[in-house]
Amino acid sequence: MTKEIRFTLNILSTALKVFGVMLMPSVLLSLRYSAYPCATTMFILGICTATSGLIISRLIHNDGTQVSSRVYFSTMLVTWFTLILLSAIPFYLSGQGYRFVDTLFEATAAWTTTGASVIKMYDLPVGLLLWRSTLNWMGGIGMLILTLTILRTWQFVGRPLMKLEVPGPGFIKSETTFRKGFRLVLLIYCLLTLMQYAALRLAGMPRLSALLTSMSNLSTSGLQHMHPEVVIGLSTPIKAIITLFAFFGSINTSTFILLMMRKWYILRNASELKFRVCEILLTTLMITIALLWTGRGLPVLQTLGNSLMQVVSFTSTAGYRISDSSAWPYVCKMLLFLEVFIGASAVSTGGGIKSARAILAIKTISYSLYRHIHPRSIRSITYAGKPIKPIVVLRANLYITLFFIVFIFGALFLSLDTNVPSALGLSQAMITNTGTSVFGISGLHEGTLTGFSDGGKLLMTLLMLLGRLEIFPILVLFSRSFWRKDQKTGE
Amino acid sequence: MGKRVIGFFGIFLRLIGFSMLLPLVTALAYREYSSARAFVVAIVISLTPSILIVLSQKHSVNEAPLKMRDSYFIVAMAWIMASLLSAIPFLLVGSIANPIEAFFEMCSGYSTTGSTILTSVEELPRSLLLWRSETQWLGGMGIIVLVVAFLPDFGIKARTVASAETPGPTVTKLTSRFTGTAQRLYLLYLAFTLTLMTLLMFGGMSLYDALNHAFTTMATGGFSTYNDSIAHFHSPYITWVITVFMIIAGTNFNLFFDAAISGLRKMLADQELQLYLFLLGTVTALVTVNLLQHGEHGLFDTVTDAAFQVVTIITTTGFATADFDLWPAFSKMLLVLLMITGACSSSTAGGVKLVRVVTIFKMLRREVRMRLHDNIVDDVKLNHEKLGGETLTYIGSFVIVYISTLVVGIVLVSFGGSGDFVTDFTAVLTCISNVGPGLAKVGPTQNFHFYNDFAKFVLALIMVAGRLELTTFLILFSRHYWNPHKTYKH
Repeated sequence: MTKEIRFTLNILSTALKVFGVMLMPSVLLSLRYSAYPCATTMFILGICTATSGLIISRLIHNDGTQVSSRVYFSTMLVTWFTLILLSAIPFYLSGQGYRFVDTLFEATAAWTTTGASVIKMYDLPVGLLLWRSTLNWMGGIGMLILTLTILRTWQFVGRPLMKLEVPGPGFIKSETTFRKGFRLVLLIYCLLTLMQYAALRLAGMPRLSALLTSMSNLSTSGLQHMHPEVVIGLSTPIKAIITLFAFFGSINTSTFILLMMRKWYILRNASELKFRVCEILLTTLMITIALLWTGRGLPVLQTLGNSLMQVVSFTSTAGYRISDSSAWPYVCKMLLFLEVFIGASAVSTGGGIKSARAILAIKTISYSLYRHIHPRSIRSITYAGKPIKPIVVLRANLYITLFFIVFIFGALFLSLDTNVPSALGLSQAMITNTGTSVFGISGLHEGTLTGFSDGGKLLMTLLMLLGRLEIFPILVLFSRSFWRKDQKTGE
Repeated sequence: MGKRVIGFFGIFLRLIGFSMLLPLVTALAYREYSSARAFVVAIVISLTPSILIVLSQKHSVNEAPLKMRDSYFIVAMAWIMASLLSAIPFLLVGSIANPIEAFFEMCSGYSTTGSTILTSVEELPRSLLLWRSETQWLGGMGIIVLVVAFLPDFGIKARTVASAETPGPTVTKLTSRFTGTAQRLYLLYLAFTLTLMTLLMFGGMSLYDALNHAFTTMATGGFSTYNDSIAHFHSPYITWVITVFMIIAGTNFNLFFDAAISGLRKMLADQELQLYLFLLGTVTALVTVNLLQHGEHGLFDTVTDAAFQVVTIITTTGFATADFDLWPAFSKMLLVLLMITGACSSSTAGGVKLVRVVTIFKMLRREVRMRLHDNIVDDVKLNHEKLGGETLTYIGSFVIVYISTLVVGIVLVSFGGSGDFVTDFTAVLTCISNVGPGLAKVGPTQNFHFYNDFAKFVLALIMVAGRLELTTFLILFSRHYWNPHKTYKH
């Protein structure tokens, strides 16, 4: 057994252990609601995965040596694909008669924190609902981080894997060691979830609902477990809490790390945080003005609140409809539609291009105009007060370009199934992991995408994965050198 | 320096004035006296300042040469000025009463876009229609290139100015002096136009129609003298002749010289051309299959329609033989894709240009390799030549500027009153890539008339910006441009 395979198996076995343990709450809940068949399948699955994880980790001995990036990529892909397939099993065997493609879509949507469904989520048995929310929660923080935090030999291997896993370019390096950073991220994530649960309970939400909401909302997955009309009918304090935590989920985690370490002074330079706040406030203001202008007869404060909640929902790529935004003026929707592309911050649970890259893109434009006027200048682009290498800027720009290429091609192939506007909207919804489109999608049946062919559903599954893993890890599958064995160098 | 700029505009105005002689003659030939009067007025307006400038500027040869920034200013201003002056006859005759609409129409002309606000083209006097087509022909190869090719040297570095106007990231020098290159390009352009005109007349077109369509085909413009465009002629011969010449117009013109000097094999070795031909073939095949699936009858007719529409969109011409807005969604999306890519650099087409598309894909391939192997050193090569980091950065930034212009354009145009996402998206896309028709309310059988003045004005500027490769035009809106001594800060 080569060290590459040992490495992969080591990560995978730990992932399986965590997976098995995370299934247990759903089993207990199913038992509580006397959904025995459901509980049995999940229990058996959980025991199987956990024991196989244990056995594998007993059998192999990992010395934590360095392996090449190729192995990191394959490890991540193997882990993701295995977990997604395993997560689909409880849905498939739930006795509700779901087709395999549908359950696969569902599992992927949950893992990638996309708020889209092909089956009516809110009609699911309680155990499965919790399972889906758990998947959302784990998908948000990234299974690998979860795995790595409790892995024995992670300190040697963590950094490159984390780079692949955490969405976004991650420019703000937190002022801490890597090991501490991991633990802190997990701690912050759990704390935020608990705080949200407590807040929702205080605001009067039922226990189960609060649990599901706090798990799905912090991971910016949307509120798929509730009927769309229930979401609109929620009370204002609950809506405000949901909005606040969706916002927390969509900002750079290093913000919280710095806060916890009481290093406020660094936050002054947090370009992404400033960008996010400005973006949200400006958009809200514009939309409020437009809404008041068109005279929809609501008080100013309420309009402001409604548009703020909706703007946060879409720009954090959570994608729930918390107010009646389908009746908004066209211009507002257009603005929001384009902002969904930018999406959340780097190192957050949200999707999209990420605001760090958007900031770089804006600077690129300004810089390229400047270079045309002063061709011999040697200044470089700065980010958060520090100069950045041209290759980093170029790579960020390339990513944005690739994002649009995937978006257009996604829409191209989805158009085999639907009309042009829906194809564009759906492609955006999937690749940004939002799950819904501001403009609405035709063929949507009570919030679920039932009217699509298997090919279309599989394509959407792929798009969700591409968006969540930031395209390149999937793209390497098509590279010849990925499949070729590493050549031995002199080192 | 200021005198040189003024001197340039003197020559430039003379060019615009003289180019109006052709429609003037046409007006007299067809006895359209009110248009003739309008053209005379427009010629006088253009030539008077020109003559004044020439008279006042006799001894100004030893001026400082122009800086880079000034050449951008000259080019952008020249294009706007050309559009304004050329709009005068339309306003005087009253065919287009709204000045903004006239400006839109002429921007669409010079930028070889081919979008129109006219609900019925056939109602216009024939001389005005010819003028409309002629502006596309002038804009196709570049008005500034025309000036530097055939007018006396006046101290501007011809290549610098021309590079601000020529499609594509690089300007190839074929001869030792750039002026020589420009002359050759224009002569080739003229030769193709005349050949096409002759071939069209063999197909039964009148001299007038043939001239109009030859102008707009070679310029990849897309204005027609009929409401139903090329479909009016119901002739497969004309359709195919125009298809072939659109393909030629979308090819890098320098390659024809390459072919003449070193043979066809050299020409076909060009990677941009290979992608161009590959796209033409595949997309036509895909559209044909898609159309046949959706109940289109007759293989030959379907192939003809598919090939014509694919070619007309990828070369950013924008003629119509079929209402592709009624086609299945997959075909429409394919056309949208082609609107973005456009055809080859140094042709008369618009869009991102295939040379950039090729480079972007090569960069992406390098990126994947860089991520897979930590310490890899990998060059991006185009036609077996290594591309420098500077070029790659420029190409990367160009795409970002393109996407951003598109996005900002969509937001602005959404105030235009269409109320439909696909309409606004394709309207801005079609203008920035200089194609012509879009989808939905701006589809091939529709026009841009319903937009409000604000949206029309924005779209007109986007067309010019798209034709001038964005940066040349957008620089005028940069604060760095207007504050030359201010230091650069972020």
